[in-house]
Amino acid sequence: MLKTCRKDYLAVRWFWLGSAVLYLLYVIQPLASSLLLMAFGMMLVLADLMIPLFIEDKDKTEILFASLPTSRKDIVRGRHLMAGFLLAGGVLLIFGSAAGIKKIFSAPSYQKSLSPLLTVEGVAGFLIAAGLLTASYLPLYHRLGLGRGNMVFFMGGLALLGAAAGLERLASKTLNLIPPLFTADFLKDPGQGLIGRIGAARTEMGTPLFVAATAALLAALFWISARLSTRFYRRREF
Amino acid sequence: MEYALEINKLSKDYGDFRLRGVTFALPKGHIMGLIGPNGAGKTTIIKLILNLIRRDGGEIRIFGGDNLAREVEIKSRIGFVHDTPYFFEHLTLTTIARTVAPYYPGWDERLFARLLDEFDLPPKKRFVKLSRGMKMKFALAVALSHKADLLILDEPTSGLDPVFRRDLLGRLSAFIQDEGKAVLFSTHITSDLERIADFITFIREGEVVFSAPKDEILGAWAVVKGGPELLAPDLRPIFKAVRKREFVVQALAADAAETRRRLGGSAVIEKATLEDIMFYLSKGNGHA
Repeated sequence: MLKTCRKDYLAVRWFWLGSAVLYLLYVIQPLASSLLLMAFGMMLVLADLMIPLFIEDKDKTEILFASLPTSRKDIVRGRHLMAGFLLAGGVLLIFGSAAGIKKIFSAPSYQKSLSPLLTVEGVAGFLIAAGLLTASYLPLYHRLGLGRGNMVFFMGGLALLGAAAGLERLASKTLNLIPPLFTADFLKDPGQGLIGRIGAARTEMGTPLFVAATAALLAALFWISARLSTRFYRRREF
Repeated sequence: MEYALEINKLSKDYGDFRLRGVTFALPKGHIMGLIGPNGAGKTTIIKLILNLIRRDGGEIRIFGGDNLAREVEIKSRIGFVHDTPYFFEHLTLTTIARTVAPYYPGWDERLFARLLDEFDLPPKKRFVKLSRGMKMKFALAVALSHKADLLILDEPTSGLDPVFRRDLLGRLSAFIQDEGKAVLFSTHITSDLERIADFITFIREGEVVFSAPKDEILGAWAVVKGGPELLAPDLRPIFKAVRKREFVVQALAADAAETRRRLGGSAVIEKATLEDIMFYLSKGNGHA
């Protein structure tokens, strides 16, 4: 597993560094809201996961690495481990930079936009959302390959978002079954809104149980993703 | 006899192409040439050995072990060169080696550095900047740097200059001096095989036409040149393939002695080269 991570690191370390620098350039803008920072951070983790896969596809090196003394299962597990490392790196970068900027700049816009992010629920929200994205993406990649996998992932993601918004509107406005999930406050600062909802769960569960539940959810997501990916990748022919 | 590679009734169905009942064995301490026209199934066999594609039937045993059941252990004993070398294009040769080396317990960094030097490959050069021949040399250096016991080479000499090709053939001959090692060598350049191969396996349309010691093949097969009398029905069974021109008939026979006995001096009978055999069996009107 670590061998797969190591070769990805050697292959794309400069691209990863470049993406981190781009992120840091973005976060010093005072207009950045906590949701935008989280969304941009999630995209960064996903993009950093895709970069080695893209380069493998471009250079056709999957043939090389599938010929080496390793199993398909280990290759898949290595990619999931790498996703885990990238998530951890993402947390360090996103929350570390947010904390640093909040400390350095006293402008109220920074204070307002970064405060909700720098909480336990902020980190948990980021990890769950980014974990869900990567854990959904990897089985699609291993089943369909890079081109078709990306298309299904992004088109499917948009369709799911649209369907969720439509269902929420139907359930809350038309049928009056539930209170509205996407309120004006939510739209004004969706990051705070989302984090607020996760924060409510934290208050109810208590921090230790909340952290354990977040870790368990992430572990379950990655376990399912790795099982599915291994099944798909064993069938892949080069 | 102990075998490095045993393939038994191997099959793979692509729909428009099928590998059928491929069976051959490569003894330790020998080089086997895998020949056949384009699309015959040579690369498919190599991909099946390396588990890059899934077999539909049959068995592949390497050093006595099933290539799927003991995949990692077996692959650590294989050095391979694909028909097109695939490495990270933007990395330098030394960095590429760092991506590959950890997979091999027997990787020898000093041997790799020595091979780069001997092959005139600059370690700090990016892979993308290499010519096709240099890329192939690099793939060979990687394949030779982990003390493999079985080398599987798919068209390794294509793109190489004659000097290096000769050098490589020498290295392969030296490689099998250790009786425990073996080489499977797929190529279109049959003269390379005449120089170094001990066994030849000829594949056509997904089937093995023959798999036998090279000397036996070159001693037995013959090209027969004569007039239309060679087309006589009673002679047809001795020919594996026949090509008709306006006044000349050329045929390939698998038993030179029997052909001489039957034809006497009525036709020109010459020893067949591997290229002749490949040419006639691929292009002639075969009726083997």
